[in-house]
Amino acid sequence: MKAGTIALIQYVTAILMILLVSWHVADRIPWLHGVENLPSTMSPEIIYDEVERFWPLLILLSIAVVIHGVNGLRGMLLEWAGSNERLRFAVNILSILAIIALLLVAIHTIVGLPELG
Amino acid sequence: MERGKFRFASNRLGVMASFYPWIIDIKGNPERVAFTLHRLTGVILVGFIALHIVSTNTPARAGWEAWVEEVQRLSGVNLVSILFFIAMGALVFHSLNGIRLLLVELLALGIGRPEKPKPPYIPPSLKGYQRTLIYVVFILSLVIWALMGYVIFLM
Amino acid sequence: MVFDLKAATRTPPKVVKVRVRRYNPETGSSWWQEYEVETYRGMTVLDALLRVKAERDHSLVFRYSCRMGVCGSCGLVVNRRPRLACQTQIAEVASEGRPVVELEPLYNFRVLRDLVTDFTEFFGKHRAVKPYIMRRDVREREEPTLEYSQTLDELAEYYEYSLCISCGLCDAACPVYASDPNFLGPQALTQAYRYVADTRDELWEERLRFLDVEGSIFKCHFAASCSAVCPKMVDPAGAIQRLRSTLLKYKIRLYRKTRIAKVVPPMEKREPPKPLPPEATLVEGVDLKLIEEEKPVIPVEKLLTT
Ligand code: SF4
Ligand code: FES
Repeated sequence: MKAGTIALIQYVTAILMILLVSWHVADRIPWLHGVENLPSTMSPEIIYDEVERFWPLLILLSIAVVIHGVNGLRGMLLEWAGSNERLRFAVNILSILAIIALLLVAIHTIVGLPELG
Repeated sequence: MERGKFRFASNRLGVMASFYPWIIDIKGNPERVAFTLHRLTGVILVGFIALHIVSTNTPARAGWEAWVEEVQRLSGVNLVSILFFIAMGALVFHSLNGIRLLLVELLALGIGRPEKPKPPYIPPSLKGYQRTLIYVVFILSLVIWALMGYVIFLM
Repeated sequence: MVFDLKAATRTPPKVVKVRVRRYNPETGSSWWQEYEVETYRGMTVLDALLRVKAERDHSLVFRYSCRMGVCGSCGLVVNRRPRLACQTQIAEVASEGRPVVELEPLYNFRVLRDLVTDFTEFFGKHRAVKPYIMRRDVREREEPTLEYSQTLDELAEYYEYSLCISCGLCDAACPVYASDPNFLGPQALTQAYRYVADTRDELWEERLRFLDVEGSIFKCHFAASCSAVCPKMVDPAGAIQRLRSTLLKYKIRLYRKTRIAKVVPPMEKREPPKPLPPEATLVEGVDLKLIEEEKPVIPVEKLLTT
């Protein structure tokens, strides 16, 4: 892929994340849920309800986050790899693998969410 | 590097230049500090996200009881909550500075117009409003971070 | 760079210690050497080096040429900040509290000997961005018959960037250039933007496509150290952000260079002379008509004799 396209993806995911992450973090504010501390905002009922309602957003968020993060790290590693072609290749392959692996886990989180018992 | 019987030394500062801003004298260059912090927090966040994605997988993997147990580890002051707090600080700085960087890098805003050099010779990009935004970002992220600390540790 | 405009009027400490990081390519050894130099008001770092070379140690090697901030050959690191030796007052970098001037060869360059660095790579990168005007009509460019038209506003878009003296200070300060040897560096990228912004340049699309590769412009993350050290106020950081923004807009088809300078004949018709105000009186014996029509002639013999 062209470097410019990758950079565009990086910026677009950044914009997405600013919106989605602020929502995702704000959702953990205890007062919003009328409970008194952070762990209770993550009680099974709240989480289950949230995933039921907003699962497309959560998947989008995880895609954006994983791509943005791994690609950012890849940039730094490529700098360090310099002009060593083998190392550069390894870094690129590993980043793609890392993106796929993390996304699979994230999707499993949402698809495989058990019913409230 | 060798040429004939001469050896020439490389004088590259290397990777440290990205993680230690004071490796050169950076008077009048807070952008460099922001740049370094952006990289540092970025690295922290990649680690955090990997852990976060794996740990939120718990309900799907081991059921809700395990999840409740895992969440309980965040209450009170302990290693997990302190690491979480650090990651949240990184998140806040990285996003606020990221907004500034989007303005500057994607839209080329906040860096003034090209102008003819005149005393005291401050380049336009160092006196555009991105400079003000740096301080706003620093202060705002400290404030939000402190609020998060309150929520994490004291509630 | 933010200059201390009053530095030249201040008196530096009487004696400063000049510490030089020296390097010997024959043995490959590097060491710090210290010289004490008596100063005077207005002394620059280059003056101090010249004094050391004249009076103390003729084996000290450094490079300079114009000694007035024009040629860009005397760049070195003074107290951990890249500066031009000839443009830096001793009074600016040394104080009574710390009368020490630490000199190192430019960071991120190859050291040839003592303070002299190798610019081959630097100029190679500069050459790679094709720092000259490119036109479809090459013949017209090489053997111009007419002029390219350009307004003052169009000139102001890139004038600042055309002041670069290729001193390499920006590359020495850049954190990305420090860790990535493939990065083009602020200087080359600024020159690339200078020609993208120049209305006389026609092949901007080619330039932008050339830059759309790994390790060129997208490695920059706005540490702005280049702008902070540039001795000519070229503002490489600003240029790179504009270039990147232009390139990304071009990629999503939002950018076209709309104004390309046309060739125009040189301006021949002058404006008609303003009429004299009615109250003006002519000096006796002056014929206005004659002055306007007759071109002033300077006799050649006169030129030869003086
Ligand atoms: S941009 Fe400035 S610092 Fe960089 S080479 Fe040109 S004059 Fe020197
Ligand atoms: S000697 Fe020419 S710039 Fe310093």
